[in-house]
Amino acid sequence: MKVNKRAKRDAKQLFHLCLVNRLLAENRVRHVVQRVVTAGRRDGPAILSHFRRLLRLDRARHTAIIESVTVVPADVQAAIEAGLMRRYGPHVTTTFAYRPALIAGVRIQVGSDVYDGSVQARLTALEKSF
Amino acid sequence: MRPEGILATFGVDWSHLLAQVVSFGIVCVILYRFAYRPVLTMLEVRRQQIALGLANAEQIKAELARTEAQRQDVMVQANAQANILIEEARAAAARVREQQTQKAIAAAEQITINAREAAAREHDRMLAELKREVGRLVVQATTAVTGKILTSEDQRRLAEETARRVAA
Amino acid sequence: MSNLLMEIEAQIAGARTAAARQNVGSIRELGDGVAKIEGLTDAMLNEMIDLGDGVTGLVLNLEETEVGVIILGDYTQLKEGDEARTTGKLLQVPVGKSLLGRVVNVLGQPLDGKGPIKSDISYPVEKIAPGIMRRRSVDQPVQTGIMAIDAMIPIGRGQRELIIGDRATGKTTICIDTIISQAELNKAAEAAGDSSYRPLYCIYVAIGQKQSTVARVIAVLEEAGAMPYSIIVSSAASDSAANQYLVPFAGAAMGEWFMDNGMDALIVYDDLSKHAVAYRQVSLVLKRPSGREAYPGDVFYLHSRLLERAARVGEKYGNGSLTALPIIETQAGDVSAYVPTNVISITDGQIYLETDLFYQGVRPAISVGLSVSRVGSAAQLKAMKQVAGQLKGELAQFRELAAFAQFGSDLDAKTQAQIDRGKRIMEIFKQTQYHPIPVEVQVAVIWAVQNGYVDRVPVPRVRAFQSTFMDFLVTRHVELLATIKREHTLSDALKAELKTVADAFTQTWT
Repeated sequence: MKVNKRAKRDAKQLFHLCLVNRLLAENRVRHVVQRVVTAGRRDGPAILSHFRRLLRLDRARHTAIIESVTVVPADVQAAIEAGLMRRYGPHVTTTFAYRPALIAGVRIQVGSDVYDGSVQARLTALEKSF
Repeated sequence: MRPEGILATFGVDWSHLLAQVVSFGIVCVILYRFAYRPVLTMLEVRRQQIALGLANAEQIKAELARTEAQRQDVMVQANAQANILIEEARAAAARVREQQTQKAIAAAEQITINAREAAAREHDRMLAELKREVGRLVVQATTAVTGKILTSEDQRRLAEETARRVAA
Repeated sequence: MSNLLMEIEAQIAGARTAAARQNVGSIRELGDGVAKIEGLTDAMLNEMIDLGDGVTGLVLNLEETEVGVIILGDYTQLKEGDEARTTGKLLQVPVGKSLLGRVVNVLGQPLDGKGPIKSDISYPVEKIAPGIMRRRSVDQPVQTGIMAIDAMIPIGRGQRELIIGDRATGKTTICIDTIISQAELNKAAEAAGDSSYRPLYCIYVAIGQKQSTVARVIAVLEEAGAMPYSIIVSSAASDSAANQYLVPFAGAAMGEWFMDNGMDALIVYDDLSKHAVAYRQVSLVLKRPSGREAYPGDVFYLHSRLLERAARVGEKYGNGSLTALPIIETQAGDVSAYVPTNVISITDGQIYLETDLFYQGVRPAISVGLSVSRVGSAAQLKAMKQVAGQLKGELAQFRELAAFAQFGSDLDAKTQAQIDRGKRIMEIFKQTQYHPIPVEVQVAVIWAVQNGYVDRVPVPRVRAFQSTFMDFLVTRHVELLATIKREHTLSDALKAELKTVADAFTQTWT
């Protein structure tokens, strides 16, 4: 969908309205979405699509996806979470996933930052260096 | 015979003779004025021209001799200059030949150097390819094997390492 | 073989340490050589991005939710959703003497199939030009080998001289002649073991040219033996606009290495009109606002930051110089268009080539009236200044009087003499392409013209006279030429010798 500048600007304003203490407040988000839908403006869908994109990006920034091959031991999990919280603030949600392609080790992705300690990453780097 | 008789025999009559002398005199005078003088003048003119022509011929001969001498001089000079030119041309040709020889030697050397470089490059390329293939095999082998040989202890160690990096 | 194994083992050992924190993004939109990547929160402007499969990108737009990246390489293998990674490095090219004699592309990768470039130094493609205090004034000449330029529009080392004209007027030919002339001077200095002569290395940047044209240029340079002193950086018309936009900066980076290391370099940008068009394409695809003639607003800055990098730096700051010869192609002789006026105001002078002169047979078709060199005689050999100082004025007078000559009216002797002399000077300045003339021969020829040795020669035979005279000098009076070259100025003794030589030649010439 082609979103013009005005719709983007409006969506950005709405997004900032949903932030409380620099965190997304879910009830406000629902309220905003309902109001836009009921208002029935011509560029409603465009605004909402950009709004959704901004939400998605914000959510990605505050979500840490931890992929591993085996179940991560509890103390290591705690250590990882503590580290993430120190770096990214207290409102980071952690998700654990299973990814056998990693062979061994853990890959943590928070937004655009990636901490890849897996064996697969090292092997790919080695192959590239040849 | 008597003189009068001789004269009568030959038909000489004094009145007629006088008349004839007078007429002859008139004819002479007329001829002299209208014929002899122009002719004589013309002959005189021609004589003078011939004398002039002869004098000119002398001059021309002298001139010719002088020109011939000059021509000889110029020929000698031209010969000398031609010799100088030939010498210079020879020197220039020797120089050019030297240059061309040097160029040919340089070109031949260049060809050998190029060939050697091409061989070295080929060698390097093959080594690089070999290295790549070996690397790929190593990675393949490791990928296939590592998952099976790593213990849970190793997994834990790797996870801890990443946790440390996040915290750092 | 064991060497090889040790290398492999070392590389494997090096892979033991895991990578530190990386910054990634995913391609959201891809088209026209530009990718919009979501994520990449740590991307910097002009940073190199790794798009996988050896394809690199360059960050040009930093927007709120995404990053605009132009792709330098084969973008047909990329898809939406592919991962992109920052490298933390600005775009760099390999520099150094190992590039001499090679043909490379914008990333410094070889195109001539002669093996990889061995260089351990890399210079950033975008760099700030030397500041005011680092510069030095220009006083060393660049002998282009073209008489019209060396006599009347002299170029100095560290100058920027624009070559501007319509298509097919001989702009590239002037630059190739200059490169060949420099190679000949370099070779002569090397052969004579002259260490006081500073060799001038040449870089030819082909922007958006046809590949056949670039191949022809390379063939000409190889034939003239100029390749060992030249680097060819090429981004042909079939390359992406991003490559064409970056290639002059890559060439400038290679030239700057010479400048920073006490050597002199000459760089030819062929041509900047195509460069502006490529930048316009990149900017429009990145949705940047466009201005006059659809060029982006910073097209002046594009060329000014490129050309300001050509300078002569002081002794403490590298003691080198970079001379720039940008080429601009005008349409129908319109020098008041947007990009030509921009570049004219940036450079230190221009050489203006006219199509009319070209078709009249004046080749090089340099319009002496409109061409100027703002460095001027400060960068000219003293001998040349002595003989050629009045030429420009004489030609200007000739042009004014030539209009009268056309009407065939009766002229006084002085005017007729000026017109005759002017016609002969115009004939002398015609020159065959790819045959540069050494400066000492030029000085001798112009001296002969200024002292009336050509006045008795009919105009159609002036060129034959000139070529025979030059042969005469080069084959039989090598010492005279060497003396002129050594002393750099025409003393009275030299003038007397020139007179004898000229007299001797005129006597034997028919």
